[in-house]
Amino acid sequence: MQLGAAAFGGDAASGGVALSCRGLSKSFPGVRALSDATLEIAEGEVRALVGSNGAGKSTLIKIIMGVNQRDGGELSLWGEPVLVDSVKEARSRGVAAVYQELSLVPSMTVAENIAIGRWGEFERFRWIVDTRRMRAHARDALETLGVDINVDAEAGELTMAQQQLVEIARALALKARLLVLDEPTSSLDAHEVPALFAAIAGLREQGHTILYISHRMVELRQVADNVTIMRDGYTLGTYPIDTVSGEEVAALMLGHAASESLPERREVGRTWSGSATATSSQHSDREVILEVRDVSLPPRVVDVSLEVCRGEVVGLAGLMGSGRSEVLRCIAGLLPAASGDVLLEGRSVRSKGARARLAAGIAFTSEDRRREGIFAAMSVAENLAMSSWHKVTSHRLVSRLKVVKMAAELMTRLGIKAGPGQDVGQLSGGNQQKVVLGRVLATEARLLLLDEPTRGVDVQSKEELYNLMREIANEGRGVLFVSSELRELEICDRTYIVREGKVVGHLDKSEFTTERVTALAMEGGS
Amino acid sequence: MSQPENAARDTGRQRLTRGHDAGRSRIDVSYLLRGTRKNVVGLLGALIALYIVFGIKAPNFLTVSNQLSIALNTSFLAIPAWAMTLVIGCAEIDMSTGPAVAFAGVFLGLLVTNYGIPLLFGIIIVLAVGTLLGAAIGWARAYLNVPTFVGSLALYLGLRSLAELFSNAIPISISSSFLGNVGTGSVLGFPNPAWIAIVLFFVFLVVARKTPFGRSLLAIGGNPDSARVAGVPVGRRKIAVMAISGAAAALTGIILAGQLASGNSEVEQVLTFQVIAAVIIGGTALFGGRASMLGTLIGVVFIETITDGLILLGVNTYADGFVTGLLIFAAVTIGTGELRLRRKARGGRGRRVRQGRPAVASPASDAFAEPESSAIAGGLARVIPESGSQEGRV
Repeated sequence: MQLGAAAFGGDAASGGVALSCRGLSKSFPGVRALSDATLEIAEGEVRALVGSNGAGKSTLIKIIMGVNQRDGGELSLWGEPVLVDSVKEARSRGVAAVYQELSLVPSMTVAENIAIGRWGEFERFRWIVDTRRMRAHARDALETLGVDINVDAEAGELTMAQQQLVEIARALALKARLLVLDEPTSSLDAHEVPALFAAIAGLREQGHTILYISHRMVELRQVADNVTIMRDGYTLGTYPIDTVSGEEVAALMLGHAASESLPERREVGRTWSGSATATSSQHSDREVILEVRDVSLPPRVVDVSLEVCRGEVVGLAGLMGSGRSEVLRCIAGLLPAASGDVLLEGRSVRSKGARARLAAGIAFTSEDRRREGIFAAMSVAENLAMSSWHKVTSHRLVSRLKVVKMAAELMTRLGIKAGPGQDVGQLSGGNQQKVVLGRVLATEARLLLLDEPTRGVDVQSKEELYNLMREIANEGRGVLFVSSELRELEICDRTYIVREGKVVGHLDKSEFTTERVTALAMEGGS
Repeated sequence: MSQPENAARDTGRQRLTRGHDAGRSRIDVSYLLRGTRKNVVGLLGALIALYIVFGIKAPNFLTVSNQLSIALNTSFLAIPAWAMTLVIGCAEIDMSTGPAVAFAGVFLGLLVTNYGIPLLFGIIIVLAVGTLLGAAIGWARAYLNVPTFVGSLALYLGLRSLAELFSNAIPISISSSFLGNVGTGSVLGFPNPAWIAIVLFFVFLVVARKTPFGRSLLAIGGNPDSARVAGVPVGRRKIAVMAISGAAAALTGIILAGQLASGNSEVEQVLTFQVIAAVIIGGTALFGGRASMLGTLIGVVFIETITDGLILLGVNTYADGFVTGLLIFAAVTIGTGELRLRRKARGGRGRRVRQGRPAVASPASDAFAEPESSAIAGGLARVIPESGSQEGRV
């Protein structure tokens, strides 16, 4: 924070302070999401905000946007202390946010999308919307942004970048002077980014203030003036973007002794390294289970090659939108790779589709557990049996006894705390994840592709999941483990780092440091 | 992690459930039966109320012959309804049932009477055509992404028109003692069509509850994306379930032709809606994932009882549909109203996953979040909210 105060000055010329936070704090039941967030953004500044998952960025944004109320601290906008207690309030004070997920109505025109929810402003004869005025209004907003988009086009027909720009235009149409952009490039392709940056630069010229959240250092350098770094609910400091290196930012984000703040992980980490040595000696012949050769699905996956050996837990690291999920999905057959080969135990897997790949021995669990993992309204036992019914039938009929027996075995093994007849929807995130894992274990697949298995899972279950992955590998299977929480990848024997759809690095367990992974994932080319 | 620690993090509701489970034996087989009861009991209550009202008000209602007549009439509604329960449980719908029944009778008449094809071959051809038409709708759904609502609606119009075209809207008489016996005869005093419906009920019950096929239909209905990832052959299942529905309609048409001794293009045009109503009254979720064969059974009896009772009461036949509609609406409203109360009592629809706090899942919110599923399912999801997850069994 002291650093932060020192880092200003550069923008004092442009006048006042748009946003000032002092000691903001916020707790949710069981979690202190924000401890002390202190920052000042000058009018007309583009400020980058970085921090790893759980650093408190989103909470900070939500407080500024009036979604959550702060527990303590001060917040002022344009020099005026405010209590932003609703999104409406934030809006009326000239603050607007554009979130990662686009929220345009695809079937409505650009003009309608910009005017959405404010039809009343364009009324004629009391209840007829004056489309001419509405379109003019939309054109004005797009002009402010300096982009040329047809206001009569349907939003769904626009490119992602154009949609993003329309979202920003909508925020501008609300007379927002402080714009919060949450990972605005995560849904864009590389060639779409410059248009967005040009628009941001234009807004800056006009004196708009922008809070820009992103992990991509390369981008931040192009667009931001200063960068504020957050970790564990604290703002650590603000630096002119040109004066810091990617490694420095990574080090600050993670803390120099990141693992010390997680004693329990460190402890388990030791056991892992113990078992890992045992594993590598057992499997010194390095029998390759999975070989991926130049798999491409442009633009999200570009010439990816990697290997997973028997008994290995291999990590796949990358930031949001780096293409890591897409890599897994190509291997799992959920996305059709445009080119390249997937070899399982040396044999090329020709069959396409998730079902065929599963039958071949490649199992996948999705990062979106609710949508693609569980059957919420079905019992634990049925969820576990869903991919291997043939094992629990006799005379083609499902045998309750076999189902429950299989469920009991898997539940004991995975430590699922529930009854076999309980609906999976009622379980905690960790238990749900174990159910999904149990379902793929029941198939006896030789390769497990686990996409963010620890997302939305409590700390204790996370650890159990790490241990399970290790156990599964020790049984002679291979595990490919994707995580956006880079530091949990330290449990892996090896880690591949993905950026913009390419494998940009590979670290052995001995070389693994979170700083290295972060730096590679953010910008470095190794 | 010890049990108490874990329990401490859970909500009270989960704790209750867990305590309950702990009391049971490790291997618990009651789970497949659990669920449908609550809604079945409610519907049964409504049915009993109907019986009391009609029994008092309509003099002949409780006679054996009238009860047998209800059984006979119910069977034509019941056979397609068994199939429809699977279809709707899988988050699809078949609108073509009514015209498909009429078409099957006319087509059989055309083959047997006009073209002199032996009855047995005629029946096989009609069943095969019905099955194929259903499968075609399923195929379009699975591989061309045409919602079954649209596909089967097109079939509804097409078959209605074909039935009239083939018969010039005049019944084609079918003279066959065998078919006549199937349609009008009885065994042990119980009408044959009702026997067929009952036997099929148990077949469908086993298919729904006890086969991987039936279970995966519900899985697809509940969460198609999970099903795909879990390796369930989603497309094939959809084709199969629609084919079953087509076959059931064709079979109904054949039996009905036996009862009427003719293939008639004007029969059972509203059957589609009665079938869907019976399935929904029975507690099957209109957007899939939850199905109750037993509920459908009571649903079809409920609907036929209303029709029968109103006739006995001497209510104007034209008012019959109006009253039936009201009663169906009331039955569904009461059902969902109860569900809404229960959901409120349970602590609402929220399922925020927040760090360190296990989420209590509400399938209801899931259903709303689900962008997929067919148009009708999506639209009606808002009308008929999902119940608590207790209802997840067939």
